Amino acid sequence: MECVLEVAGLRKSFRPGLLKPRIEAVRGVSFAVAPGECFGLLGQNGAGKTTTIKVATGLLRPDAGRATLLGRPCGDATARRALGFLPENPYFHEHLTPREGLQVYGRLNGLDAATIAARSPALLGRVGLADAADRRLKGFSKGMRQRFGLAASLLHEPELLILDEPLTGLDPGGRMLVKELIVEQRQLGRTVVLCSHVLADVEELCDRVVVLHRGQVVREGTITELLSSAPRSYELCAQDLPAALAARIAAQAVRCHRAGETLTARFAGDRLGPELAAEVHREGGRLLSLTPERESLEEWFVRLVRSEAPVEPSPPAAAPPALVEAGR
Amino acid sequence: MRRFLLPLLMGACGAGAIALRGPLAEANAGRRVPGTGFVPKAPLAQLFSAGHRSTLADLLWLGAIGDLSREFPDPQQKRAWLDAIFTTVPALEPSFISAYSFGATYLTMITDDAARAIALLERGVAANPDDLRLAVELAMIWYMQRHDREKALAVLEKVVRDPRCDSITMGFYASLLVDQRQDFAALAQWVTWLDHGNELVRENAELQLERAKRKIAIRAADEYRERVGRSPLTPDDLRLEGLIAPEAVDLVLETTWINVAGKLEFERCAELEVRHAVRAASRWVVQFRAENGRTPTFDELMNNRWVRLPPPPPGRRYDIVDDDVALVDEG
Amino acid sequence: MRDRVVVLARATFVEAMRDRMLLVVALFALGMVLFSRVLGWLSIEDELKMVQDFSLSGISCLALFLAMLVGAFSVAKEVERRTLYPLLSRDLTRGEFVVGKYLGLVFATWSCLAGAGIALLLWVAVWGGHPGEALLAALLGLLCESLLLVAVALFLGMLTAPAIAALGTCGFALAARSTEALRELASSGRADNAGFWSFAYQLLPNTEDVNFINATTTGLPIHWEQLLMGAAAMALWSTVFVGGAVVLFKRREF
Repeated sequence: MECVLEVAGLRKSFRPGLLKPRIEAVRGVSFAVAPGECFGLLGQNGAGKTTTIKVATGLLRPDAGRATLLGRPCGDATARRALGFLPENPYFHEHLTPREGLQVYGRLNGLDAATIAARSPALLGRVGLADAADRRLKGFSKGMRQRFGLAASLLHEPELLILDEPLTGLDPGGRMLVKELIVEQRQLGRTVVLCSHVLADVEELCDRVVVLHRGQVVREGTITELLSSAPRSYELCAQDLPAALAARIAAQAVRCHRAGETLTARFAGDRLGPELAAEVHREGGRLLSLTPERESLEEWFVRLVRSEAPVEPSPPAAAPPALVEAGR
Repeated sequence: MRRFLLPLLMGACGAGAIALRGPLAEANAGRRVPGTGFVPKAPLAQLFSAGHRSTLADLLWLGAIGDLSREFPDPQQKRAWLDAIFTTVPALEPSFISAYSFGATYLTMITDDAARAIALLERGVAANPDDLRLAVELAMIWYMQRHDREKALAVLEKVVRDPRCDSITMGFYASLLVDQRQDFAALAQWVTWLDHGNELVRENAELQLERAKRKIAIRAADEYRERVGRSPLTPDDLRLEGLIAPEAVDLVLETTWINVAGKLEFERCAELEVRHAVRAASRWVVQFRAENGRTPTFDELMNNRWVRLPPPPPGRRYDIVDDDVALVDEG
Repeated sequence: MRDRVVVLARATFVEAMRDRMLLVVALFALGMVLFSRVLGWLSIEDELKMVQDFSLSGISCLALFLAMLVGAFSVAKEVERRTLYPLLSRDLTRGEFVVGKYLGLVFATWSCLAGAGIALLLWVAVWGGHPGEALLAALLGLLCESLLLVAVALFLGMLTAPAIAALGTCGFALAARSTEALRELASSGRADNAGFWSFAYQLLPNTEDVNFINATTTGLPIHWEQLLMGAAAMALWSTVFVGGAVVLFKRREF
């Protein structure tokens, strides 16, 4: 299966000043994006994400290595016909209206004026700019510009969509809209490369991610592969507990809270929680819920970049006992 | 109160600046004496005009017009400044006719510097061979300032051959020819116009011809008096050799009479002069009426400074009839 | 390719024309045209000459200002504001981008110059003059000159910072008008290395070839083939500078 975007041994450096030494922004990055997947590009500020994206979109030329788009070099203009790109914090020609802007960008991608005119109303409506279609872009807020950028990147129904920080600065409604659009594109069989600092969204949307650190790939894989499946803590919620059991639970819990008859406690590790849940059953108490908590992508990422050596994911734990959830 | 502080401060500073203008103008009066203004040399001006030569010439000329009438602290300084203006402006734009014309007039009439005026006009004529005005002005200066009829004639020779040449210039040329004793040439240039299709042109040509004949006859009479010791008694006296060019003598004498008092009379010339003056006066009456909304009175006609009517023939007088000036019988 | 260039040119034209700064500069030139009448009143008998000369010089300055404003700052503004990214990430080569921008800027400049030129022709007619072929030739010459000035401004804008590019464009305009001085230097015998100066004259653009401003007052007939040849020379030089801009732009990274 041909990769939609393939990067191999990419190297890129910059000279910040005339007499200053070169800084390597990207040092041998390699990854491949399969068709139809949502691929996340993660990294701290200065990790080389934007540089990599700029190489993929033809804005930069690599010092070494190669980057191909649907089998063609990224520097080839025709390869970009199938590409939709939304840069970080986008700006557009401020004296054009969205309708005019879509005409320009669509025509540059080979669409004819009639097709653009037919698609524009629906697309602008989809991104919530139907009322502002004939207002100049100059007066648009950041969120509105972001929405227009999305519309412009989707107009020509590209096979690959590269979105650099598409959720930054959006209100909750805007964020929901962008996520919906990404999901829609995936359902249509298109490939999405998402570069974002909001790791919760990446975790929610992406199938695979690659993590860059100091210009190199330090991790690559699916979310499941990267994160440990074993819970690191449990939260237990129960009622009608015998006093002794309640005291024992409170003593072993990391945190414990009683609201009337309901006791809520958190236990570290992956064993204590299920064991105490079984005891509640045995001693006739009412178990309302037992919730496992796993390490999030964000927590994993922070832990990764803080350590000097690469961190191995924890081995997956044994499956927890059967749980009863009540009251959810 | 604080929000008025800035406008108050601005107002106070503005008022102070305006109040200082008077004292500043007095203090700097010495620095504003003309002559200290920079007029670039011609090559420098051409180089830095960046292709806007005619505009730069215009700007320099406009600045000069105002300064021409000003007093310079040092006459030498003014002379140098005039030299700069009349070198640089024509160098920037050789076709700037006004600069040559007005400059020559200024040099002649105000600074009495005919040599510079001639040099300026000669440059103008050389750069604008098709312009008649400059050539005529040059000829005038040669004649009136330097009394050099030969040089004036040399300049006018090309002018009179141009179809655009007016009758006044041709008359001037003819007069110079007469002074140089080229009588036949003076008369001949009018003869070709006597067959013109336009009646006014024919009459004007005849008038100029008669004027030229009159001038030749008067010259001949003066010379006769000097040679013979008395005034001529008959027109034939003027056939004395050397008074009038042989090929022109018959033409001159055919309209020349000498009355019983021994005075030369040029009846045809007088008749044509009156007719010419009446036509000019009629044109003036029409213009007067257009400007003032009424016909001028007889006194206004006779005392205006634009048209001079010669004495009417005996038994006749001038009158304004239907907005036209006409000769009517007395009584 | 032609379609993409035309699309970009049209977008650049619309963007430039809707920019308020262009309007201010054009109004300034219009003001100079109208003010020229005042200079005419100050002169003794050359009112129309003053109107024509001053107005044409004003329009010539307008052409230079526009080239500096739109050409020198255009690409830098796009890079700074990153409006370049949505364009270059599409099926658009760098060469097409430069050519499209150039054509759009030229048409925007020509629109302003044409407006000022029409105002001048009407103004001359209002004051009793007859806008003749010399005036028309002068205006057409200014259009041809602006072709080159915009190309040079675009080229310098790719090479260096916008302010320096604008100054460089101004300097180029002055030098191109003064190229005749090189020829005179070579032929005058006053300078050493006459051959070198002659060679330099041949090599440098000479906008005097399309400068008919001074011809409006000489009364001499206009030789239209001279203007055509001058226009061809300006077009060729423009191509050289636009080509240079393409080369520089292809090497740039964003």
